[in-house]
Amino acid sequence: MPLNDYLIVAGVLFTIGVAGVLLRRNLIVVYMSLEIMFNAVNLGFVAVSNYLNLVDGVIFVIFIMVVAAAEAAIALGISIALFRVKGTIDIDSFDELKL
Amino acid sequence: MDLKSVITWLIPLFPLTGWVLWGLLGRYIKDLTGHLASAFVGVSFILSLVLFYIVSNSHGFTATLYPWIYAGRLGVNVSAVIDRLSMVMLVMVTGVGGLIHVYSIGYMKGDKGYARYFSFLNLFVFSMIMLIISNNLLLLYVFWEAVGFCSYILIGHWYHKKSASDAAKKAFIVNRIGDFGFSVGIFLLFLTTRTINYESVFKIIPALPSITVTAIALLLFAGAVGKSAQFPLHVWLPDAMEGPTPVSALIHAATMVTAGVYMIARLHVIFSYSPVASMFVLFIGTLTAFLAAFIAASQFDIKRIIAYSTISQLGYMFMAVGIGSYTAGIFHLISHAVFKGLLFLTAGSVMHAMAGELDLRKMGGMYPKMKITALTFIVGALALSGIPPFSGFFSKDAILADVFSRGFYLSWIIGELTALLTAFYIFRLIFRVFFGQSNVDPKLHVHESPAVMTYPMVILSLAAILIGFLGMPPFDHSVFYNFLNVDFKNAAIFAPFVNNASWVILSLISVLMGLLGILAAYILYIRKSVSPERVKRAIGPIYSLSYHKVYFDEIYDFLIVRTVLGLSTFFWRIIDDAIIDGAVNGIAAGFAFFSVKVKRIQNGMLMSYALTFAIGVIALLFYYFIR
Amino acid sequence: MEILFYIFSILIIYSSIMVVASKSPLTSALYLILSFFVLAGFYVILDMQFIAAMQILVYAGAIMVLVVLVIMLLNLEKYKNIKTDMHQKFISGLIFMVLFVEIALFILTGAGRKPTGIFTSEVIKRVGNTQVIGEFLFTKYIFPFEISSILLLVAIIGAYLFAKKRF
Repeated sequence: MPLNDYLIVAGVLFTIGVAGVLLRRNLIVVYMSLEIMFNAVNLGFVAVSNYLNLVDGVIFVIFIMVVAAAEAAIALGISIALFRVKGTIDIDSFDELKL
Repeated sequence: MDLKSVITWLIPLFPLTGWVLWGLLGRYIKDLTGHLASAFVGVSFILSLVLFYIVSNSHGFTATLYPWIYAGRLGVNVSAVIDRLSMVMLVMVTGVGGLIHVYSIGYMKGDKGYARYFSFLNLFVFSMIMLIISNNLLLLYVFWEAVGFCSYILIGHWYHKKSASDAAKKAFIVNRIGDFGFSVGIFLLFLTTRTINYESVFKIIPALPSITVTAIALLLFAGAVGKSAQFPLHVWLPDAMEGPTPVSALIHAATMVTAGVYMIARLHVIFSYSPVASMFVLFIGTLTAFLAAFIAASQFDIKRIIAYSTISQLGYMFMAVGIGSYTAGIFHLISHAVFKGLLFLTAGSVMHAMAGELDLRKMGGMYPKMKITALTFIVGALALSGIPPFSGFFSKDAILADVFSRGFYLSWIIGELTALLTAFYIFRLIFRVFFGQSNVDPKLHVHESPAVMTYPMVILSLAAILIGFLGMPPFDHSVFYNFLNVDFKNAAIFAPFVNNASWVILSLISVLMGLLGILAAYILYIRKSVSPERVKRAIGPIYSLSYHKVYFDEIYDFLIVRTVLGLSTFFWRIIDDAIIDGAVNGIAAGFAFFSVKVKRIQNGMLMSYALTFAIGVIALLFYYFIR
Repeated sequence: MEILFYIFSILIIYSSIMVVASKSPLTSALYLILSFFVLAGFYVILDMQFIAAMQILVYAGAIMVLVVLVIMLLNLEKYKNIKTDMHQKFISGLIFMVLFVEIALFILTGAGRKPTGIFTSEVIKRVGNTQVIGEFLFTKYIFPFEISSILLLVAIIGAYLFAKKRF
């Protein structure tokens, strides 16, 4: 398969992820959309690395997985903490960041 | 360090320790402070005598304490130069300073700032010791400033009095003007010679072009003019009378004002290789000697009269160092320190008796009530007037004889005239304070001062009688000359002796002048065969010139103070308030305005942040795409 | 192989859209697990069996179990009705379009590069997938590897702190 086909699929996934982040207001769904974006990038990495006959891209995928795992732990911890305080996970109700 | 060095560094250590101790613990030891402070300076004095004995039986040395600044080609040690010159000065400073400490115990009794006073008195002595023994110009400069700082603190001792704090500020600022020239001189010296240690400088100076040496010498002399209160920077010294009287004694006799003369004597190589600068020193010295004596003749404040007499006598010293008679200058410095210290202490004693009254017109006939004070004052006055066998005669005559034999006849004539005026004004003071009818406020109980004050006066008056014999004329065969002149052997001779005038005739003229002055004062104020009022009217303009101190303060006020004030107001109102503050406030206001607008973006909504982020990503991609 | 690629592509795009579009978070999560499995299939096509296994173990196994657990824990089913308003939909759609066009243009107009590496599919197959990755991970990338371990430690501590009842 040509490289571009893989990259197009990765691009479609990435944009779907972006749209999900912007569209949904449920914190957990936003988080899952982020995971879709991660996966799109991973697919791109592996495809390019396969095309160029390199392994470095695959190594990056492993590191991205590590970061995603860490992020999952933190994000879900924050979700629980916020839910405990606010009683909801609608992200429009979290506006404490403003001045 | 060998024993000599240890002794050397113990001398300044004691007053320094004293400063710290009295400053920190003064409130706990209270009245003992004065005794302990005096004892500390006394120990320094004894150590100085020991060192003096060592040095006079061997030769000078340099005692290095530690390396201070090493940067590039600049290498400075904290080290002391101990030779006969510095030893003579050290003994004088610690001796006279110690006596003034003792006197202060009585004078300052019950003062609120008793411990503070003694703490800074110790620091003053320490600074002066360090100034004398420092062996490079940087260390000299540091303590040159330290002396100025101490004088500021002590003149402003009664800081709650506006006149005292003003006088302190004036002293400091006027000194700073001179010190600016002094520091520039040091920079220039370092720039040309690449060293600031005395010995290395002296080796290089003869090889330098004359114009450079002259520039350096004149700049250094500017510092001496400020510190030693010479024309035109003399205005601070009379005002410095606002401080306690022993402080005046210390400033005038032992420390501070002698620093300028000492500095020129110490750097005699630089000055002797620049005849122009030396002539300038002579000119300033002569002018100051006469002007100050002229002003002193019509003042009514006893401390001001003595202050002007100090300026005048310093003028004599500068005449001496200006013609290359460094030994004579230092001799006059020493004898002046003794009798001027004496005069101030006795004046302080009078003040003490009069509850702080200083006006001549409110005194008179006090001799029977305070005999010791009166007698010691007369001894000091005779020494000042140059009547043999008191010390002033020998030292002043040594200078005037040298001035004459080296061919500076005009200076000599002015010097003799000054001698006449000197005798006149000091005996005018004596006759109006101690003799004649009493104008004292009857409510005042005039009494002799306590023993702790009279003993230093007696000791100083004995010294004022005896010390002159060290310089028995002819001066260049005297003990003092033979002792000290070896230190000035490196000086270039730029003003050789031109005639062989007999010292007997010159001395006779000087004594005659002194006696004439005393006689004039006697006629005017005791016999009253000529009324002072008539004389005043006869020489009207000259009298008012003298009474208004040649209008120096007024001229400075008009030329400098007003100008600076006007300029400062301009900078304050226009430059600072309008332009600089306006710019700063304007920027701040602009940011505040835009911040209010921009604040809306930061609404805390996660979605809007994500949206901004996405738009940013799109924009970045677009940028890379069109690149 | 090509047929597999197209099936996978359709499946992953469909499941991703469903993740974003479905009302219930639990449905989204299940679709996300499906998309992870499909991605693992992609990795197999690309001769990266090790990554495929990792994908299933880490993502579909660990992370998604965590997500589903949280959804159950918070009882999020009752928050189905968090509505998105119209202008949010409009802006998201706009950004979706623009971003997609830009990415597509980037991919299609990008200058092609010739393969430079030595790790062709044959080499990887001969040496073994896991060994190649392991050698790289423990030689060239040893420092990022160590750093990522610290990152995980920080994440553990952070998660513990967040989940604590009292701060």
